[in-house]
Amino acid sequence: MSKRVSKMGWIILAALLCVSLAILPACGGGGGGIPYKNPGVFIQDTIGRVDSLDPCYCYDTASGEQIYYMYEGLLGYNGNSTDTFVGLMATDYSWVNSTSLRFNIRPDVKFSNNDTMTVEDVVYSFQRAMVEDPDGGPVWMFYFPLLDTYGSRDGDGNIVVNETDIANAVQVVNSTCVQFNFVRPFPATTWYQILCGSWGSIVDKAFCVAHGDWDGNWGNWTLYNNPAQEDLVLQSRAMGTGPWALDVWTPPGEIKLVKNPYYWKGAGTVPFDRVITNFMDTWASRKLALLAGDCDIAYCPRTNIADLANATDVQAISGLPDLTIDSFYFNQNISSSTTYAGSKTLDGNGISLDFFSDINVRLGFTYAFNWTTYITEAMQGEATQRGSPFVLGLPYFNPAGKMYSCNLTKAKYLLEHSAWGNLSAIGFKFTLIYNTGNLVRKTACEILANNLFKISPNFQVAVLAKDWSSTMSLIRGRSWVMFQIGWLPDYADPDNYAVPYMQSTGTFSGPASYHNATVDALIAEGAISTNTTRRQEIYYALADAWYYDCPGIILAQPLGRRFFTKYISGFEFNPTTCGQPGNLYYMTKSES
Amino acid sequence: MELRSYIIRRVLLLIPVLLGVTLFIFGIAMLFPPAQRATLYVTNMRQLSNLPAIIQKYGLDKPFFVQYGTWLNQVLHGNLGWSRAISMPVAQAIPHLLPATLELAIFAVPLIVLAGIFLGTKAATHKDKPLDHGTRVVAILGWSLPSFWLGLVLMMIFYGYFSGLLPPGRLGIQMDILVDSVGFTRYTHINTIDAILNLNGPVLLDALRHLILPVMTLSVINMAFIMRLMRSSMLEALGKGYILTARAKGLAEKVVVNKHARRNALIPVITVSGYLFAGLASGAVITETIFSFKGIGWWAWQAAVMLDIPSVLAFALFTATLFVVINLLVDILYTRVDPRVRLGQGVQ
Amino acid sequence: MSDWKFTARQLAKNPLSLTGVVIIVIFIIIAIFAPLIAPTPAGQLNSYMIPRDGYWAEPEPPSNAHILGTTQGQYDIFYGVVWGTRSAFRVALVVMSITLLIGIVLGSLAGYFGGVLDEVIMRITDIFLAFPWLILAMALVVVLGPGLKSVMIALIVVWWPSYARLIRGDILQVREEDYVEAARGLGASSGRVIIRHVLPNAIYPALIMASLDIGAVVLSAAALSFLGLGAPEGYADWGQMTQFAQNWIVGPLDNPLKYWYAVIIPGLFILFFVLGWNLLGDAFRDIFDPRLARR
Repeated sequence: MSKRVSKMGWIILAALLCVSLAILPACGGGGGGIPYKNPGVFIQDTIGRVDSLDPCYCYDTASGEQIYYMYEGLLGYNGNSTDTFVGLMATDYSWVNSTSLRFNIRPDVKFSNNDTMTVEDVVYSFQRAMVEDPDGGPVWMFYFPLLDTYGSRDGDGNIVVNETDIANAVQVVNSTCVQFNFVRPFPATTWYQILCGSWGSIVDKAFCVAHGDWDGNWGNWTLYNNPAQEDLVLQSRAMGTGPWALDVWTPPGEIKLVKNPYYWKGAGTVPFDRVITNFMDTWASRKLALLAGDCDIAYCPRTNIADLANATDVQAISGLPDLTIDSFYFNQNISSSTTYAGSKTLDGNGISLDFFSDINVRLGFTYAFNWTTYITEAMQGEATQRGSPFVLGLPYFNPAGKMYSCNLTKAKYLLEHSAWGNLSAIGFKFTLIYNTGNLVRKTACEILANNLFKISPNFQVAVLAKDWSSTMSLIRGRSWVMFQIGWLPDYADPDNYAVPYMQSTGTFSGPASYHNATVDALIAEGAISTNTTRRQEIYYALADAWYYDCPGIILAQPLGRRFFTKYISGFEFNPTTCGQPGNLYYMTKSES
Repeated sequence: MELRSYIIRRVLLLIPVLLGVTLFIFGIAMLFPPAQRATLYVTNMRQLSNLPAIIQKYGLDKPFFVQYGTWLNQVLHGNLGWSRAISMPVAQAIPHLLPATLELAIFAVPLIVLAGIFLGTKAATHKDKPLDHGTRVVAILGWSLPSFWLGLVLMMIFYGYFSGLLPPGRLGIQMDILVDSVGFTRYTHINTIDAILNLNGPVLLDALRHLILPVMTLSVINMAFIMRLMRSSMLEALGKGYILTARAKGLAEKVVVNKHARRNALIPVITVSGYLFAGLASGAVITETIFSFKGIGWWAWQAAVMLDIPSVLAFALFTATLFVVINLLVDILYTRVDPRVRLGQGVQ
Repeated sequence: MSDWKFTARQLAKNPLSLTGVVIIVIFIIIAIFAPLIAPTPAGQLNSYMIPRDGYWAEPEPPSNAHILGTTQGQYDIFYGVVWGTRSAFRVALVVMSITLLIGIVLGSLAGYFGGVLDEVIMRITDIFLAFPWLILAMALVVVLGPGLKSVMIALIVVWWPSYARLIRGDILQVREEDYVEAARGLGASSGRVIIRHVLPNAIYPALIMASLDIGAVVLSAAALSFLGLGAPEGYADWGQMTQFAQNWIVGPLDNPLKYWYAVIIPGLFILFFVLGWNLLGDAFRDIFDPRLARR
């Protein structure tokens, strides 16, 4: 027998065992507090990934969050308010007349490479955005207020704006002042909110031009229009005036920022030398990192908040009303190529393609939904029911807005007196779809399906999972029967909800074939009205219109949570902020 | 057949394989309607009305061979496209992500192979005794565990319970800052190798510390395969005639086992080790995700799910080339180990 | 007949193989009697969807109402693992039998006839084998839409090349045997020769590998579920249940094993299923080893 080899093996095994037994007591057992690590460094573990650092392209929150740390715009939100502002790159503003707005630009501000920020940079930032206007980007939010169009190109991709329009929309007045010129009066607060977005960041013209970007000359500006993502100069470079500057971005997992040594409020006022964001998809890894002190905030999915409920040294901040809403939407004109409507006629084995065009059917379904179960069980109790897309946190939110509640008797009555006859007798069958992986949406579908089944066993609703890419094309192709969708606003104004949810060509109402001419007129008026009283009337009326027309079932406005370690203080919630940590400049990390 | 012409023939065979693989993937991709493939380029819901423009811009509704031809043409000019999954050009994405995967493979494969050989030999020489049964059951147990389950349990013990002992990720925060600073030169982006080349002890230790859990997870799962292969090929070798002769000559059992039987038993193990390395170098998706060791595997998964066709095609090219090259190396190694084998005849 | 008796006796002699047989038999019983062991609630159409007792997220520990507890979203674990046995057998047997069928047909054609047919089939298998199986399976599942049917199709596509190669190799060996020559000499058609003489002798290694791979099929399906590409949430499938458990593997730090039932029970079922088939396959391999004396 190869005794010597086997002996060696056993000796090695025994040695390893002894070593590990020796190390064991030296390491903490579970349940201890969170150690204080990495002073001066703020570390966030979250999901997702950064897509682009270019302010004129970026439209997702993960990228937006990083842009906020590195850049500043003319204005910023004031603390936790969504409709009052502080001047960042601007010191103050004034309206010259009803269509011209002047900003005084702050002097002695440096970019992180020591370039001085001037009015040229301000005007360049806006003109560059409007010149490049990448497809699907946020620049429509400059075009609509300033030029009353939705972008530089038409539906076929031809450029329909000319350089004088852009050059006149934002211009240098003198060495300390820039002016925006609107083609017609536009609500001031909405414009200020737009300026607070990541797309309003002031970029360094010299830096951009040095890397091959548009140089400000109108001769060949069309060449720079609609660049592909790979051609964006600021895709993976950044030069801003914010408290931090880009150090290293290692897609997909990590982005590191360092303190901006030339920050205009003083580099000494910046609380963290470094800001590091790690993207880790597994909750268990993030949680363990938080508890081991290897990160200062960890993103916790709603289903797992119980995990950290009693954890020592974890600071849980809850009850934060997110500016988002989830809802079902009825498709009133289903495409005939759908496979989710059963037999596609009301013969008991399907539904007709215009099934939801009857108000009684829509109301009946609405009364069949149980918000209490949804909120307490699917949302862990952390949500509030709303009656319309206009949520708390938006101006002109009506706290007394009308809402429905679950009433199966009423639902039964309505469904038996529908325009198609007594549905309990006829029966129907269709499939509800939710995005794979989204358990909350699946639960909402099941609640509805089960309640309908309780009303009558002839109401057979199946629930099916579909991946995200099919979701989009199904909505667009009008094949979905009832889709479940959420909305995250660009800026905190009810118009940003009204258009997608209620306007005839809106992102949701369009494919669902919801048309109401009065509603359209109200939306058009509210979008550009500068009269705050009138706007309140309009948006209250629109909330009521939603209640009576019932194009969909509004589910609930979620209440968010943050999990910090106890060493972080100064968090202030503002629903418009991208990302979880909030305004890092005002926060601190200390052992005491 | 002469070695050089054999190598040339095998390398040339790579081309039809590459074409075949990419055509196959393109075929799968074309099963999606253009509207669905366009959603790859959609970053937010507002673009839903833009889908026709997107389809136009990227030529998603052109016939199969036109799209394939365009792609092939770009590739031959060095442009592998843009990877939406990672927001980088594809040609940059692979060298960017490969080091993490390679680092795992470099440490896992020797561990798996050596442990498998050791255990397999033990099992074979003690056939049907408790040691044999024991090692076989332990190995199979390891292989039967879902990898994410094993990984997460290991993390719970060594990162959660032993607070912070073996963290996920490739490096700790302080070391991570160090390797990106001017004092440290990145030669290969494989942290352990770079640390050695920079003569930096702390970085080396930190990198090794972060490697322990993912490598352990990969090893436990893959070890059974090698172990059983070694066991059966060892049993076959031990049953051969020359072993009887060696024993009859009075040679010590240890010499019989190690020198004669094991040498011949190693042949199939070499082949499989090659496949193992190629497989691990193509990415272990689940391990990479759990331990935040994002490499090629993670990228391929994201690309597949997002319908990021350029990335999937590039990934296919990479792995097909890798497999063919490794197959070739293994076959050449074969001839060195077993002089009876002639290249070009009956070698698969 | 005496061959089977011999096989059975060999199986019984070896404690490991006996264990394997016992494990598999227990699973077969669970699968067959699933409707009795875990009856589907009245009115539920699809027996493979696990009934939900409420909607809250946190798994509940074993209790009188739920013998083995509930998973995330209050799906009953007992029901899930019992009907999951049926799913596991369904997936494993469907995938394995179709893979074997394709492998046998293509492998036989390649091995017996050789020449151009052989080259073409071998190049095609090269192409499939040159691609990491997980990515190929993922791509196929994304195309076909997530669900067990897509998983089965994807696994068949990924697996058939290895079997085609294996059977081809065995046939290459067997076709040179004397009795095949004899049959051909007597004028038997190729088909007859293949089916009656070549295949029965060439097929054993493939069958053994198939029994070992059944476990691998279940593990691969579980891997796809972890990545979100398997059976839908709430479907009675072990892989899907372990995917549910991934967020609960590490409980609160003062009680890290709090949700052990959601995590370990489906995992144990997978483990024993794979273990059983592995032991069985190992045993078959030892038994059908031609060097063993057959009397």
